[in-house]
Amino acid sequence: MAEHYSTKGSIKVPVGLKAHIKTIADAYYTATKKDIVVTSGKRTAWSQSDALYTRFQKGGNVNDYVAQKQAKAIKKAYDDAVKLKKNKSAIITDMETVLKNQIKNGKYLSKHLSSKALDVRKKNMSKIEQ
Amino acid sequence: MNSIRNMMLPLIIMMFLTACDSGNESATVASANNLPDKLDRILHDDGILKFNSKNLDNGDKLSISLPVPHPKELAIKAPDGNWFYLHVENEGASEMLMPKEQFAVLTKLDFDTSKLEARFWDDGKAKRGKVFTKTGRYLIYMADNLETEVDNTLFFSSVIQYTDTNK
Repeated sequence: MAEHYSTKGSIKVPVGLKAHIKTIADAYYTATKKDIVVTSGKRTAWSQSDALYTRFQKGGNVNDYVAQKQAKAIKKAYDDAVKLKKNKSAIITDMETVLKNQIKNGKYLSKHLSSKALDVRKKNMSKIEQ
Repeated sequence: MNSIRNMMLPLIIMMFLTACDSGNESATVASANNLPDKLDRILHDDGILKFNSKNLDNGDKLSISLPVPHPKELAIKAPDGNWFYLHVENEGASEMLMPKEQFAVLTKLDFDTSKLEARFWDDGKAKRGKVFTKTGRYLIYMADNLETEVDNTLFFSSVIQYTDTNK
């Protein structure tokens, strides 16, 4: 039976969620005759740190993060590494270390770091389909 | 206050375990209907993008200076909450300003506020229309992935004021 979901670009559905998204996509297809597009899946601590590095390096802040405590801790790791004149790779590694410790303790800057969250496309759904 | 309701395009499927600390593997799949509001949030102007002016009238040029690297995608949220998708990867020409390789190294974007059109979605249907038609605050939002929450992507956000009257 054909899958009723696809992924945006190179997005990967975490293995542990494939059965869940299939169930949801099949139910959605039955109701709407439309497939679901998964727009975001698992995120690694490195890719998150890399994105935050770019944001901080361009002067961005952490005001818009829900997990303020976690975001501020990562920003501190960035600031400390910059003060020590570390290179980009070393700075990201320091940030990644903080993120990994947070994950280890069950604290997530983004739920996608947990491998237990997916986003699906909403814009092409009517209010009823949502 | 330079803030505006966030887009939160994603309808996040809450498979996130509520009991991660305990290693409980039972997932919760919440009803989709009540999720967008929970994910909506205020986005602030982070000051990363630079503008010719943040107070524009109809017919003014909107000039945005972009640092490189910058996020891969661009959208504008109108005061009525409508999202206009100017540049979204893998969505074809209708939601792309230029090839993605060209966009990636772009340092400046110029738009005519009286003419700028983009795709938007109305109750699940794709439409095209003018971006600047209402007086109010517009969110200029760039993200590596417009279709996820800000915590999960590289993003830049700015707020400009537009007045829909001719000079």
